[in-house]
Amino acid sequence: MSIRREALVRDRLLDAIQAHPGAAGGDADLDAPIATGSTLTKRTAVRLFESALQSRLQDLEARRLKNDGQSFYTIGSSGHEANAVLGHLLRLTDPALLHYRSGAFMAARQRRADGETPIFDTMLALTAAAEDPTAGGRHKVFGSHRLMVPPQTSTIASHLPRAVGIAYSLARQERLHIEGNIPHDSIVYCSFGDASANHATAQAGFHAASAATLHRQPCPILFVCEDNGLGISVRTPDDYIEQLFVNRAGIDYWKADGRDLANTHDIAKTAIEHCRRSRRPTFLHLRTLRLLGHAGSDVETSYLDKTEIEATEARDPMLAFADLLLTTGAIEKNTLLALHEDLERRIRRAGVEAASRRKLSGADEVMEPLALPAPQDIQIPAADRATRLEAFRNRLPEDDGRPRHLAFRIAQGLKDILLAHPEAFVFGEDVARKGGVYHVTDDLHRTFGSGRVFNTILDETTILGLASGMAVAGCLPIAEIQYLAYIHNALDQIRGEASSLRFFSNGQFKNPMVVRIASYGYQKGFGGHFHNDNSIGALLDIPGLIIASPSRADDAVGMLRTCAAAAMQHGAVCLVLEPIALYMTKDLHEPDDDAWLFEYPAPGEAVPLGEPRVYIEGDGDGDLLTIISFSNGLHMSLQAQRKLGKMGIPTRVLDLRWLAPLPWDAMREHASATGRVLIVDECRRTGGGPSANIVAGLQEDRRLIVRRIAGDDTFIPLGPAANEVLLQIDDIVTAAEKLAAEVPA
Amino acid sequence: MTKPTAVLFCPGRGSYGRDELGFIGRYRRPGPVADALSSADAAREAGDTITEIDGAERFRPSTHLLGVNAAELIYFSTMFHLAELRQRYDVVAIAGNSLGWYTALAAGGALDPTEGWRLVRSMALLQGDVSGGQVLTTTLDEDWREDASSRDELETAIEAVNAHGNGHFVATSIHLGGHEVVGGSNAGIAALLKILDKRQVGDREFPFQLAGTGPFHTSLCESTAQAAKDRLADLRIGMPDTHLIDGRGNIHSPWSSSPYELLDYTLTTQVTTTFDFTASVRTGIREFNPDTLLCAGPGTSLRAPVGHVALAEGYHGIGTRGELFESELVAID
Repeated sequence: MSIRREALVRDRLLDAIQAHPGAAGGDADLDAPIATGSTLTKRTAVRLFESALQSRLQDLEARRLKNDGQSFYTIGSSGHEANAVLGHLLRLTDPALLHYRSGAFMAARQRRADGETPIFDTMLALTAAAEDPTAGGRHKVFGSHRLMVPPQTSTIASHLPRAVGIAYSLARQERLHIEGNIPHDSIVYCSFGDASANHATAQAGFHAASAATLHRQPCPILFVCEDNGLGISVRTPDDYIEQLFVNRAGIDYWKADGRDLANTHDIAKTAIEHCRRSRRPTFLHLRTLRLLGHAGSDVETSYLDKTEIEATEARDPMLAFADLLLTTGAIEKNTLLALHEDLERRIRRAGVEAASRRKLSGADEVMEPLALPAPQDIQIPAADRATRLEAFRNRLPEDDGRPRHLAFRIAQGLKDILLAHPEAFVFGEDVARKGGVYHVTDDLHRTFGSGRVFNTILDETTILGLASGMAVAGCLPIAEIQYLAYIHNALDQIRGEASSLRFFSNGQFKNPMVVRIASYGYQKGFGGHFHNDNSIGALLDIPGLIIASPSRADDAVGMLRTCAAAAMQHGAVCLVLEPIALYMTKDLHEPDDDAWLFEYPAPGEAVPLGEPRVYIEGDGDGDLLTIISFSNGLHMSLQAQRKLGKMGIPTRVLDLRWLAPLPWDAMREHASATGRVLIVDECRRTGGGPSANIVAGLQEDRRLIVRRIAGDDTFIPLGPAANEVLLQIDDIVTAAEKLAAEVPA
Repeated sequence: MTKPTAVLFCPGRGSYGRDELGFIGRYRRPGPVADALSSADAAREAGDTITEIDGAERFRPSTHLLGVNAAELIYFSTMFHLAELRQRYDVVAIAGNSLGWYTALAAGGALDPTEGWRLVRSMALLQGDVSGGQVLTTTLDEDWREDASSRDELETAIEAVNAHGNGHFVATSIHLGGHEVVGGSNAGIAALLKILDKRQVGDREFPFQLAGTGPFHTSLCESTAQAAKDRLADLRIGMPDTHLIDGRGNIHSPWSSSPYELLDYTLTTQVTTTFDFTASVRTGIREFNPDTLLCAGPGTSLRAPVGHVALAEGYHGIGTRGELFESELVAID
């Protein structure tokens, strides 16, 4: 798209205003309706026009700045300016999760709040200035913490499940008297494009909203599909969105013409009122059109004829809006021209000023919002004794005198977390009455009821979207993903949504959540890949996450406590990878030794973030090598340690416990102590686990000999064949024996 | 030659002092403002007209700082000054501090000069009925760098005074750049002055009580707001011809402002809640990016508060107080 096309669009509007015959008579009162039967006044129409024109001229300025090398984002809102109506009508406290063509919406919303500076804010964002109030120069996003607009990235439609999650949480918070961050009578505004509606994530969002209605749960969300008929170069058929949504179960459909300001206003007002009153998912199909291409870099002429482009430009909604104002006498021609000139001048000056502002400098400044809390800044809360006694039916877990296995202790640990954090919820597939497929949420539903412990529909995107929505609403969601293999279809909810929120809001929005995932291989009872997946590389690749990987019962409880507190106090996004194969494991070295059963940590005790556990037999002085491992690998490594000891190879074992952040200092310390390091990584060798990264890090010390063993690069087969590709104790012993024979430099 | 663009700031109480004597006489020109002044003078006793008070040989605090006199002197001074400034500047938006907001309404065309005078006079009279005062303090050092601890100290002091009860009341009256104006009952003001440490900044010692003012922009003025609504319900307020920026930092455009909203804000909201002049300067800078931040007369009282905000905003890349003065971006004439 050349600069000339932008000039043509601009000039066409000015020419149309110039040539307009003016008012056709009628009421000069600006507070009179602009059309018979409409609730839109002329004054409000002028205000909407101001916001719409601001958005349009910001788009043009973005292109100008881009051509000068001063702006870095040109996806615009031109043709979508009718969304100003929604920005005007919604409450400022209604959360808004926006389509990236929401310039007019934001302009209209911001002008209703005190002291907002929407023009300069937008220019700061376009020029990636460090003082951009939304993302601090990290992305051009529409967002505002003050105005409850969590910024959305360009990850198309990934915000829908979160939006549904917010809507779903409001009634639940109200019922449980949890104040949260959002008034409980709010509705959630969620906009997206017609092409985005095809996205699997979007469909998950619609489906979750439908399901909520069909399960008789309130879900006050207003979906607004801004249908411009194009997904970059691909056409959306005219009746496509309507056909898909007009009769969708559990969602009520409205349709408005985004070139007709009064129609859009009146329909949007009705839809908003319906959504607020009925608490049902509501779908507003807003017909728009797209001007100036998908983005500045999109050459429209490669897939559209010039006549098609011109025909679209002739239908520019700004032309229709201006015509409405002039015909009804809402504004005079010369005044409208003055308005245009004024806005254009202000935006230009703001653009020039913003471009001169400082950009982010240095990796530390860029990454600042991703910083994890210092361990000492995480305070572990505990409920009072009386409350705990009641919840544990007078048998406090720390007093029961019997060591227990992992699954048993996690259930008790979760109970304590729910007691200590009144805003915490546990949810997932089968977690309620059944208590989870491995009984890890046993007794929680009975103790806390369906308000705080509930089953979701069978969809991981919905579960994680619900978690991130509840997080924004001010809850502490503790979601369960039934098997590691199931998270992959929904991972973008962690990567693109939950984890990125702090980054793209410059730390203003937090996403406190804990996701427990039944993980890894070695299950004896339930075989096959989908219940034994051992690839966590995609999780390790997400910036800013906390990843806990406990092996034993007491650690799991302490680590869950740390995660819950880090989430609630610092907005951390925490994953807890629970080894299924160790859930019920009692023994370590030999049958019936009960060496893998543990006491319950006292209330308030926790595992500090990033702190590993080291197993040394004897005084450790003569240790020949250090094994670094985690999870099932730890359980096997400890068995190997015993065998190696008997073979005259004294060994120390370091359990990472935290895969993010990794305990680098401790690893280096214990590696240096022996000079030889064996990393035992039960995940896939090629990027499935943390070992490649650890090898690279430790190799920086040339004095060390660093070796690793890992699982094979395969999916996990059914039955005994699984052990052909998963690490075994003998693999560890063999590798350690070989390593012990090597001589450090 | 194109005139430099300017956001104009109209001053409030305390801006007409000894040095401003004769200000109106110097800038007076025939026109609607002069007609309004004639009406104002006609409504007063001979010997006590605004023209005469302005033209007095000596500055008498008992006369010149008397609420209603001060308000009218300032209003007409600014209005006449503005006519002169407009010849040299392209005024793109107008804001005002406290009383200066009333002037801004008239300067921006939402009120004609006579209605503007009526508003100014009525509010001065009504506010004269409320006892109490204002204290000016600062959170800046000599180089206009924010001292965060002094802001905390002020908040703590306000809480301590209000905890006292028994007629002790103080609240933030005006956010005035790096200064803070606290309004309150007489007992509250006296207590606050006792609690706050004295600080010498430049040639001034902070905090100090402002002369001839009341507990403006606090809940103590609720009766004023009620009376103003009764007395000024017929105020002929209309659409401004220039953007107005109010004491929340909100813009009222010349194309879609609502007279009802302007009236409600003017007679109620800003009378009883904190006037955030800082926000209005910030909005002026960020949304208009003018060549000049223009402080209308009388006096130079707004130069420092406007400068504080300009510095905080990095306006035109200015980083220090010295650079700001050198740049003359904040103009007082």
